[in-house]
Amino acid sequence: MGKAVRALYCLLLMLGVVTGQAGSAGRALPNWLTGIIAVAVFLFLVFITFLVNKAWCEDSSNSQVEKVTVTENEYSMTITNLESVRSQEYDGAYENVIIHKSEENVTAM
Amino acid sequence: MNKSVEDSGNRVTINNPADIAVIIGYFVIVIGVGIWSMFKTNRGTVGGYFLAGRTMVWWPVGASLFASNIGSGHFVGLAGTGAASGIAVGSFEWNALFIVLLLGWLFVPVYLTAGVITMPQYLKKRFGGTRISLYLSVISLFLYIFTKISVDMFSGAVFIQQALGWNIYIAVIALLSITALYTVTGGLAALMYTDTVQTFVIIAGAFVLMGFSFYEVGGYSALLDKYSSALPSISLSPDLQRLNISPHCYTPREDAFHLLRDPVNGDLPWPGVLFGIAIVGGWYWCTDQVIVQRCLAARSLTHVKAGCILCGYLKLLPMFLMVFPGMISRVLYPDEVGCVVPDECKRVCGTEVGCSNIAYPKLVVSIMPSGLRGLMLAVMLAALMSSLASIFNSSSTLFTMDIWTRIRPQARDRELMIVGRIWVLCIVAISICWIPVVQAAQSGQLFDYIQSVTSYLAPPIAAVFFLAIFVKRVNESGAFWGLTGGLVMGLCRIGPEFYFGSGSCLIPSKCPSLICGVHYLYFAVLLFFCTGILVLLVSYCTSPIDDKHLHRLVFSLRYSKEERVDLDWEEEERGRNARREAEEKNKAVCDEDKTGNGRKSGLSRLIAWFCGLSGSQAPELTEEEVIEAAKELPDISEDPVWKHVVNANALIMMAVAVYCWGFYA
Repeated sequence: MGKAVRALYCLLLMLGVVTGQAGSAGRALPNWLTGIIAVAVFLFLVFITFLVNKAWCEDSSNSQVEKVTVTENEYSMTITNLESVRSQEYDGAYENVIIHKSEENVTAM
Repeated sequence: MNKSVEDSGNRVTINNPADIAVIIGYFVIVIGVGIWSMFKTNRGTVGGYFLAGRTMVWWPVGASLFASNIGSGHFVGLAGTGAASGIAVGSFEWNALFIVLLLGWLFVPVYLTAGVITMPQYLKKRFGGTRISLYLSVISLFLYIFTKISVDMFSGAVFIQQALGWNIYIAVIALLSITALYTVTGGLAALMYTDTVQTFVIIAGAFVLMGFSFYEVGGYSALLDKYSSALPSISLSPDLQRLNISPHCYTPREDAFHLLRDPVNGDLPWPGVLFGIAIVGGWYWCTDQVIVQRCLAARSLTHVKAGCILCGYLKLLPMFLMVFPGMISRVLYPDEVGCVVPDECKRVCGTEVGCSNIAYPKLVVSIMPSGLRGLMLAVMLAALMSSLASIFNSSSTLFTMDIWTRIRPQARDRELMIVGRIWVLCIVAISICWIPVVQAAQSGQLFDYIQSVTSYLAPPIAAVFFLAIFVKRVNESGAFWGLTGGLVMGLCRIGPEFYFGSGSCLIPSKCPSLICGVHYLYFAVLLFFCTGILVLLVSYCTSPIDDKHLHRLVFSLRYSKEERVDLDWEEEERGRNARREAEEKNKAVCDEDKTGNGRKSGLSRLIAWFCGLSGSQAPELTEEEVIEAAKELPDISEDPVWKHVVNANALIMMAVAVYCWGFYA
């Protein structure tokens, strides 16, 4: 707790010094400070959104589990398909042909 | 516009070996990459030609998004407006950082899982009926020709005339021919790979120019100091009876280094900047064929997202590469770039309204040493060709998949490929015919007209797409009447503005302030909300669309695995039957003819290879095969590890963007 308080004091002191010296184009705060304040506010909002998201997801956790299993099935299905299409020459590469073919079916008119 | 420009002494021709070598090297590289990509993908099918076979990884996607967006219009327009009114014009670019993330995370998953190629096709599946998709196709083609193509060609023309003094027709025809060449032959794959090269060229060249300009003006702080005193020496009108020039028309703005300006008096008010540009940006990045097509060509959703992040980072650069050099140009050449007396301006650049558009070309001509001038020309060509090529390809996609298939449903892949390529040639011809119009329009006004046309016609489309994806209740009548109402509102504003002219600082327009007094960004916001309300009203008064028609077409149902009954099933079925009949007839004719010449001549085979038309045509799927294909669903699942990596990167990019906004607010 002491460390946090000390950090806060340092920040406030810096702020005071900086506003005393400020003067670029008649601004109240120098540019980089407004930038940092904006980022801090943004990260705070992201954090809040994350918490809200977590809270909401707890309610509908049942449907989430269902969704996850379905996705996993799809994922493993994809893996099986991809394994059969591995290229001989390069590790981690796949033949173009099959991907193209399946995509063609999807976009068939 | 031509004579006075040629008379001024600043003719710099590219006639030394260094410049010429650079330009030739550039063209060799671009054409080489185009030819290499021809071997890499199958261009003979619809999926291969229009969507690069869906095999693109993230870096061509990101680079192509950037290069398709940055055209010569950005160089001339951003620098010119920056010279005239400061850095606020850069907010158009920095707003896109967030919109491009919306594209990758919210819109593309739905487009991918819907399995569509064009945006009107998506609306057809989502709503059924044909009038909405027809409206969208026509309006999109209209907007392409009147805004994107004309802006880029006009800017290219300004640059060519200012920096090179070439005959405008020869230069534009040569450029368009080279662009058409690799568009027609290579399709989207060629475009995306060449766009990667173009991106490097654009950024490298623009960085070089930025370095030289900052060196000339004495550094960043020198720019901050000198900009406010960049006044032209000739500021009194020779004829005070007719024209009294008030000082605020030629004095640099006080808020020149602020992105967020006064909401009532500013030239770009901050609510408009934050919300209006977001809406127009939403149309451009999330619902427009040119941009979305590049995302649809990606290998997987993770690659789309990574490409969007790359594009976002690249979009940080135009503020420093184009806006600041534009302001430096005004500081270094206040009498030319910042001219205010009409006769003086006409002498300098051929237009009475103002000469801020020559800001960037002036820097290229005056500051760059030889060898590097050739590089800057290559940069402008790269920007021009990449944007034009993307627009050509996408308009060809729209025309082929949405309009031609309506006229001839029995058209097979091969015919569609040929029609697509012929349409590119038609659009090139239209663009060439557009040059005299571009020259006749007063150059100062053209950019305002472009902004107006986009701000008054795009918001209804953005509203309808946004609601279509997120609100299941929206149905066909709601969308149609919303679009129509929005169009009428937009035309009510465009009409008087075009009729009275947008005026200038010296001679304000006579347009009544009730109509033209509302800033175009505010009007965009107003139009967006009015259209949205109209769509929702009409939708709730009419019957809803059943869920069974909406699986994988809306955001909330994007992961659903259930069978979808397509609303456009009947029309598709008619098309498939027509194609099956045509195939039967073809087979009958072929069987009779089998004894005839089995060998094609060498020339026709060469042409076929060049155009990417493979010899054999895949047979049309039978009914059972179609049903089976529909069961095979497009995959938008993501590897969890990469998903988190990509999400973290997006957060970092947003933080960087917020810092930059805060820095210059």
